[in-house]
Amino acid sequence: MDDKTLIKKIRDGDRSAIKLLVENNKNLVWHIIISMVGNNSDCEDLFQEVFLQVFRGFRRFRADARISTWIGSITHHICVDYLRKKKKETIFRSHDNNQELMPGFSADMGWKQTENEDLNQVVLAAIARLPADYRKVITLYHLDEHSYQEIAEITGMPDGTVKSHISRGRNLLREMLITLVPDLAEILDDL
Amino acid sequence: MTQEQIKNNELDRMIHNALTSNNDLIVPPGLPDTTIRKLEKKVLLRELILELFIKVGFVLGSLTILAGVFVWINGSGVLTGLYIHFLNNWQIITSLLLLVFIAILIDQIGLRFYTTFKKEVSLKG
Repeated sequence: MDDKTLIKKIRDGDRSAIKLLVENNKNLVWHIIISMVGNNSDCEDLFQEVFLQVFRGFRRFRADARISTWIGSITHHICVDYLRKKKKETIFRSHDNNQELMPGFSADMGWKQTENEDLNQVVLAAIARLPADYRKVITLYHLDEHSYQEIAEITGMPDGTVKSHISRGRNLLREMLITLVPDLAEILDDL
Repeated sequence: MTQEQIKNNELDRMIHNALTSNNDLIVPPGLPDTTIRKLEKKVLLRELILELFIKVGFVLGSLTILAGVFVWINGSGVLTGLYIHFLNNWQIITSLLLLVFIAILIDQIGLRFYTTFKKEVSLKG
């Protein structure tokens, strides 16, 4: 079902369209919430709040944007408000110290010998240490595969800022990964 | 493909794999259903309220037409008489109107809302 048909059905009060709307956008909403506020007990309330606001604001929605981008932008605003209220920035639920950050790793251990799971943990821990804005755009870019323009619309940042955040975030990640696992330099280090 | 592109692709792959492996990024089971139910309740409530307003509007419209017919037949003295009657018994008339309003609200919105969702829960359960 395309965006226009879905909007029309929701405006007409079609309950199956509401279900489709939530199902189609649940991952995007959840990813933005987790990357911005971290996994805590408020996330589920924020998730529901997003869709309630989407539902309330449907009459104001302009059909020239994609629904997912519009929903992403609402999610972003709700998370910003939440963080403002909490006056603190939380990060991914991860580990608190470097020992825990690197399960199964030691200085002389080659990355190829480690399990993929462990490498994923290291990358996740590195992502968790990125500044919030970088983490947010990297999650949207790599996990949800949004374009620079879509990320800009969701976050309200200019296109150029999104591009530079992704680039700087990736560079920071690369540096962190090489520091944590020196053998990764072989495949990640700049020429 | 240049050496730099290969390294970038490798980093892309690592980031993607790590993010998709993160359980925190998986939507908790049941959360979308709970959200859908909340939204469906809102839709139903809106429909019921709209329906109630239409019915009330229909009744008030009919009464206005009836009053117009009375005025047309008997002159405006009927309305003055009704007004005086209302002023003399305003407490009981207001109480009755309030009672009727609450009864309609419970019947048209409260009970219908409750029974619709109760029925859906028992069908799903």
